[in-house]
Amino acid sequence: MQITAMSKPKSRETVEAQPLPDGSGLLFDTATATAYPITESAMRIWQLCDGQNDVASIVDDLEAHYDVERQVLEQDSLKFLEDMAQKQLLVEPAAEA
Amino acid sequence: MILEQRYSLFGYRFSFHTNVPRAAELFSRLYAGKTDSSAEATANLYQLLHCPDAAADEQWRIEVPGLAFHGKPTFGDSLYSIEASISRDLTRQDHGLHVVHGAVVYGERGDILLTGNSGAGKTTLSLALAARGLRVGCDDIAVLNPVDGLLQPHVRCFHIDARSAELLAGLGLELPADALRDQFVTPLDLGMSEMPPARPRFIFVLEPERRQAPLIVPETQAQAASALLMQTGRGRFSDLEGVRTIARLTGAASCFRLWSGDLASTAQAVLELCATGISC
Repeated sequence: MQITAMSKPKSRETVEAQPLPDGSGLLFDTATATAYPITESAMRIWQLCDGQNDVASIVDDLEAHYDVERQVLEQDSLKFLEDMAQKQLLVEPAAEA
Repeated sequence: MILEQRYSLFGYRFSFHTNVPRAAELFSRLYAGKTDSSAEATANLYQLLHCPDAAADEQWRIEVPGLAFHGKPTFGDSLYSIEASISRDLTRQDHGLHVVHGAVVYGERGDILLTGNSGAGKTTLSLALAARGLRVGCDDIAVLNPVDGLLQPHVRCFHIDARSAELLAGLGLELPADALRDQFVTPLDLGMSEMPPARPRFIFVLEPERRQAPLIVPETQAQAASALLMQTGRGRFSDLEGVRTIARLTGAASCFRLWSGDLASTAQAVLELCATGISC
């Protein structure tokens, strides 16, 4: 799955997100029984991966919450999403429809 | 004469047979109140025999489930093998509990869980904390109840090598003469009898690499959960249930990764950090 600014990533149904009180989160893929710890900002991105939000709107949300340059947020978001896609935790919205 | 004892630990029933009165006394003290009164026999048999006529390195002989008798050179080695086997077999039981690989220490500002691979230094660090006045519940495994989230220490001897004994003595931990000879010390030797369930407020993931000075860095609760999952037996539970239970455990704690330096500095660093009572 190729991630671009136009992508509308969707979390795979086999993945359970476990939010932790400190804001971090644990993604657990029941298909592979593998757990992935993610940071607070990554958890925020993950929760927006509903197949409706494109990367630009995800970055809009981050920009509203973090005092970080948009370009940096965009780069970091793409990097995280590419990583999640490579781990097959994300799908294209149509793929699971 | 063979002395026979039967115990039930978290529902895991086993028999212990020995011709060594000291071993029988040790087990009866360790597992006081955990005697198995069931009329039903169990095939889980652990034996420790002293055979003074055998070759020097085989005078101590043990048998554990799945392993026929084999010789050990010392009483301490034999005891370690038997206790490690009990821990292993306890982990495999279908008792509706999670078995966490870690040491439990009762701190003034909250309970402490030290986790990490075998050899990472959980035993020595927990005893170093004992030398500073804290109470140690266990140094190897604890049983996590998924319903109430409490961690019950699995009581056993603390096995220490000569180097660790020397370091601990340097910290002022008074070890009985037997402990230096046999290379183990019992919780009772350290004045610890009651091991109440713990609710860890501080979780340290120990790295095996040693440094000149200790290094403690904050860890997210998710990172700690991920590390702890690698150290947890899930019994009858699904992986997902394990994830949820461990996430609940780390979600109630401040979490850190620890690279040990010299023992005194490391124990001091842990104590100082826990004394601040950092909220999670």
